[in-house]
Amino acid sequence: MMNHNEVKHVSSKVSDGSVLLDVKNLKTYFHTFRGLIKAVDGISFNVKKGEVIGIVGESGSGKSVTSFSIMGLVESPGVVNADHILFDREDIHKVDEKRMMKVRGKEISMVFQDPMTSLNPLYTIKQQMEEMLILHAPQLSSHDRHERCVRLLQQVRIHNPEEALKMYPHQFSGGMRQRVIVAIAMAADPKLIIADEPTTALDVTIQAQVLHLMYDLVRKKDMALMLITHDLAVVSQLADRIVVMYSGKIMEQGSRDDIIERPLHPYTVGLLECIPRMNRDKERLYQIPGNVPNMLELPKGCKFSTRCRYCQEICIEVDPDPRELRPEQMVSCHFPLWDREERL
Amino acid sequence: MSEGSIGMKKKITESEFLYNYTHSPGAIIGTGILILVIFLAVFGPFIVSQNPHDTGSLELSNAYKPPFWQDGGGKEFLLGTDAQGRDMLSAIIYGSRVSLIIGILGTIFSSLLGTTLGLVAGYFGGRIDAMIMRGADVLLSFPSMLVALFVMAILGSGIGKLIAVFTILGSVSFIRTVRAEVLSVKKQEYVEAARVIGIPSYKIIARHVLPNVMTTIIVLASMRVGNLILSEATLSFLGVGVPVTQPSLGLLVKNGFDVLLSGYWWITILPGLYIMILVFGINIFGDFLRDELNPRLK
Repeated sequence: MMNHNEVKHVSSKVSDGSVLLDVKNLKTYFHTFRGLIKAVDGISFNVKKGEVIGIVGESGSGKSVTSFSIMGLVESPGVVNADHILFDREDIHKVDEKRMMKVRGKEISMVFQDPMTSLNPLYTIKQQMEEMLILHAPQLSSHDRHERCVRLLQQVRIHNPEEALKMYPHQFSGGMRQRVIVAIAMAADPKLIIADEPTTALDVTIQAQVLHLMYDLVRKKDMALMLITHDLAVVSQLADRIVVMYSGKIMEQGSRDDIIERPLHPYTVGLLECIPRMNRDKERLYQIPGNVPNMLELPKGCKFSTRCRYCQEICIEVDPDPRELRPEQMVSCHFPLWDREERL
Repeated sequence: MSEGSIGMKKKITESEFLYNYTHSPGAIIGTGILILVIFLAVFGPFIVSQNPHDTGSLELSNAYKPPFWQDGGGKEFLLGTDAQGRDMLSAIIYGSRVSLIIGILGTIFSSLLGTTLGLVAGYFGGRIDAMIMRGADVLLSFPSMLVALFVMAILGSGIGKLIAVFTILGSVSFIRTVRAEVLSVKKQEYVEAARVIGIPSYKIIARHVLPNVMTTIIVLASMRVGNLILSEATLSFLGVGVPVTQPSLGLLVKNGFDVLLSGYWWITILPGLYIMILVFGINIFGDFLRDELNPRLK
C-alpha cells in the first residue's frame, strides 16, 4: 500500500481528448469442462491519447483477461468477442495475426507483474532489449541499436548502462529488472502501454519509484498507459480516469476525481473504505463482506448483489445496465449512491 | 554492482562445474572409460592386428586360442580367438564401433525427433498436442523391447533399421519429458512477454523455450546412450539386431554362447564385460551430468 504523500500528482491535462483505444462490448468466455466462465462479460471503455487509465478490481475480476483480449493473445479454450476494439481507428479485433504481430510491441506493449520471470535468464539485458528493436525497428544499424539501448536504460535511470547491457537478469535486483522491462516496453515507442500489476511483486519501498518512473516517461513521451491493479490507492494517485471491474463487468467508470470523491457504486465505495487513511479516526479498516463469487455460479442479477449492503429484490433478478449519471461517469447499479446523497 | 564483483561471480559460476567435476570420482572414472572406449573405437583399425570382418584373413588353425594369461595363450592373440580363429581383441574393438554408432546415432535421432514433437505439443497444445501425446501413449503401451524384436524380425537385421526403430521408440521419453518442461517454461512471463512484443511462435520456441529445456534434453540423452547399447546387445543376442557381417558386442556374446560351457568362456564373457564397462562409464557420467545440470536436484 502506498502512502498518499509519497506520490505527487503531475498535472494531467496532456490528453487532447481524441480516442486511442475504444473497446465496445468485449466478451471473453472460457469454455471449460466445468462450464462456461465469463471472464469478461460485455465491457466497454476507451483510452484517450496520452491518458493514464487505471483498471481496478479484485483478483478474478477480469482485468488481466481484458488486456490479453485487447492484445489478441487469449488462448483456447478462451473465445474473444467484441463489437469492436478500435485502436487508432483500426479494428484490431478483426485484423489478421500477421498485422497483429506488428501491433504488439510496436503500437501496444505490455509490462508484466513479476520482474523475476519476465526476463529470460539465459540472455543478457542487451540481447533482450535488442530483440524488440530488431523486430520493430529493423532499419537501425547495430551501432544505432546499441545507442538506443543505452539511451533507454538512461531514461529508466539505470546507472552505467554500458555495463548493465552486458549483464544477465540474475545480476539485477527486482526493481532494476522491472525498470529494464519498462525500457523494453518503451523501446519501439508504442502509443499504449498496458501495465499489468507492474509493482505488485516489488518491495514497497520501490513500488512508488517504479510507478513514478513509468508515469513520468509516458507523460514525457505522450504515450497512453493502462494501469491494471488491485490497488485503488495506486491509481487514485496516477490515473486520469478509473475503471472499476468486478466479476467480469465494469461496475463504474469515470474521471479520477469523480470516482475517488463522488463514487456512485456501492462496490467503489467499499473499495475506497478499504484504504487506510492517516486523517481518519477509525479503529478497524472496513472490509467488504463475503467473497468474490465463483465464476461458474455468478449471481443472476447484479454480480455484486451477494455482497452489497443495499441489495434489493431487483438487484438479485436483473443485471443493471451501465448508465451515465454524471458526464463521463458511467455506473451499473440499480440504486446508485447519488440517489441518497443528492436527493436528500 | 561493480565490475569486480561481476567478474568474480562469473569465475565462481564457471569453476563450480569444474570443481564438482574434479571432486566427483564417478565423473572422472566415467569420462576415463568413455575416452578410452571412444579412442579405441575411432583409432581401433590402426591399433589392432587384424580386421575381424575380413574372413579371408582368418585361419581356422588359430581357432579357440585362450587369452594370454591362460595356458596355450600367446602374445599374438591377447584376448584369445573364437571358433573361426578371429582375434577377440580386434573383434571387441570393431564390435564396440558398431555398438557405439547405434547407441549414439539412435540417441541423436530420437532426441531430435522427440524434442521437436515435444516442443510442438507443449507449446501449441490443443488438438496437435492431443494427437502427438496419444501417439506417444500408444507407443508406450507396448513393451518397447517386444516391439523392437517384432519389427526387426519382420524387417530383417541391419544397422540402419535398428537405428530407425530405436529412433521412433526412444523418442517417446523425449516427447513426454520435453513437453512437460515446455509446459512449465511456457508459463514464465518472459515467454508471455515475447508473445506480447510480437515475436513469431517459431522464434519464441527456438530462442526462449528450447534453450531453457536444453539441460533436460542433454541429461536424458546421456542416460539414453547406455540404454540403447544394452537394447542393441539384447536384440543382437536374440539374432535380430545387426547383420552377422558387422558383429556388434551383443552379437559377439551370442557367437560364443554355444561353446560357453565347453570351456571357451572368453568368447562370450569378454565382450559381455566390455559392454558392462562401457555402459557403466556412460551411466556414471550421465549421473554426474544429471546432478550438475538439473537445478531441481541442487
